[in-house]
Amino acid sequence: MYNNTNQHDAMEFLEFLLSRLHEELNTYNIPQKSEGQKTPQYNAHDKIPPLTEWEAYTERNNSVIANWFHGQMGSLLQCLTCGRTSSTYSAFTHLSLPVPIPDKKGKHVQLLDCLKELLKEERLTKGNCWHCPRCKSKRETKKQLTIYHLPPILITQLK
Amino acid sequence: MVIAGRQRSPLYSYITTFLVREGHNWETPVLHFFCGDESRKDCHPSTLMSSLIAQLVGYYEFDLSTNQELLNPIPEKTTELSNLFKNLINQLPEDISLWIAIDGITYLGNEFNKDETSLVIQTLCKITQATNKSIRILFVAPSQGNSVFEVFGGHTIREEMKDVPKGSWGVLNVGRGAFEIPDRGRAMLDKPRTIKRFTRSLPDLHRGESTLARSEAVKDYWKVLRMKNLERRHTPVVLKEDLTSDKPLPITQWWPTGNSTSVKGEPRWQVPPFQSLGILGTGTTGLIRQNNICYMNAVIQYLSGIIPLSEYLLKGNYKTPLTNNIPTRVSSPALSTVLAYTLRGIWSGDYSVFNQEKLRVYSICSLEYKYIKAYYFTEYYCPVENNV
Repeated sequence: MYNNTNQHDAMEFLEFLLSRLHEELNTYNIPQKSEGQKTPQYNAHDKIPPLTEWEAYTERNNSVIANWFHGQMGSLLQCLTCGRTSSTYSAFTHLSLPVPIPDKKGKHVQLLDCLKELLKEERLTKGNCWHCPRCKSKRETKKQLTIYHLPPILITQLK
Repeated sequence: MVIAGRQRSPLYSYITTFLVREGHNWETPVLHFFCGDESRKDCHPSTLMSSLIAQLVGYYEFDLSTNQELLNPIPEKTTELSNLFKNLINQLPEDISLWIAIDGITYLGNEFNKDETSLVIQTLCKITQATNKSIRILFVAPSQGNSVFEVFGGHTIREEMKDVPKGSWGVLNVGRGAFEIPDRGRAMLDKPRTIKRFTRSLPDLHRGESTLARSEAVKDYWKVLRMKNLERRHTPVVLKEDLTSDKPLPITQWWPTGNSTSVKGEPRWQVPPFQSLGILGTGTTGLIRQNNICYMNAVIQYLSGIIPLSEYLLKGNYKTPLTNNIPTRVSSPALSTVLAYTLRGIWSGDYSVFNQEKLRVYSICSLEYKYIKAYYFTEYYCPVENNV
């Protein structure tokens, strides 16, 4: 039954191993903040938030696993109608890279190309539009991923 | 209880299979062993015991920090295995119910294994009596023509069984021809009976390891390969003597542990030159593959190739996480312990093939890992559906 999903299993197992190891080795002992606390919103051009968020994250997650394998990524959404932006930052343990179709036939795709493909500006249209809080309706949006912190050991997975 | 018939019949296996599957529906764990499945000659009472232990460990999460036996090499003798099984049963909470179904116990009872088989039967019978837990055992066996079954005496109780109170077990005699099932039914039942249920039992792994290790040719091949690789492989900087040390050793500072430097815009870390001192083996140790856990082995090999992580675990630093005296959220670093054990096997250079069963045992223990669970259930509980 699981013979044909080996690749998928390997990634899940790795995730499981790393998260469990992280749990065991984490030295942060204070219980997580209550859920009622709202996540702060920042402007797009504000340079500090990713850093402060990252500091808070590393304070909460202090283990060799977090130090070596965890990185931080930011996702920027911009409404194409009014220009309103929204950024969210999140930690990642591995990057799931899309494999781009090479321009010319027979050209080899490098890992860097996959990374570029991941960080490419993306347009959200129709079905998966972003609900813009200023326009109060679904608008065409551009989405950009940015890596703020690279871990010393980066785990990548090719989609 | 014992079900006994005069003749071998697929019906008996059917009863066992049925019980195993129904037990799953009622959420009652059923430890089971189909003796007839193992057509090999080395089917032994110890195989039965270790299979039961492996299944028990799969059902209940035992604390590995207090159960040092689970971390030690698996004992080979039936007596040791029986004691281990008894200990584990004693640790279970009082309100559990557990079934043990053993099919064709007479397969084990040839003249060499007679005593050990009796021991196994007695151990199991005493377990049901010694505790208040609701543990029920079903032996399915033909009643005649085998010396082991004389333990039950067929109808009279033997000397050894006098410790076990009467009434705790009984023999149900199934007359010849009472339940004849047509050949078609048998054809369906034959498949689950031929499934390798034993692949999960622990001695099988030992057997695989010893078979591979015995072959001198293989050994030499690995030796040559190791020597070739020694010069270009990076290895963790750990002395071999240190592997047995109990105390955590200072680790190489691969990267700064804090992230304070990043605020000032300086690089958060610098890649240190990997050191290839070759003090340990080259880490080219194979892992035994059991069924389809190759993806796990791939991940473990991958992790062992991350030199800093290997070194961290090999040097035992998980025992005292980075800042001393601050307790971690998880009380015992169980996974780190078993992973370190596996990495030790990989890096020590003493093995050509290493048996990572401890990691597996742990994975099975933590039922939160859904794939293990699903895998476990598919193999054990739906044999008929899988094959029809």
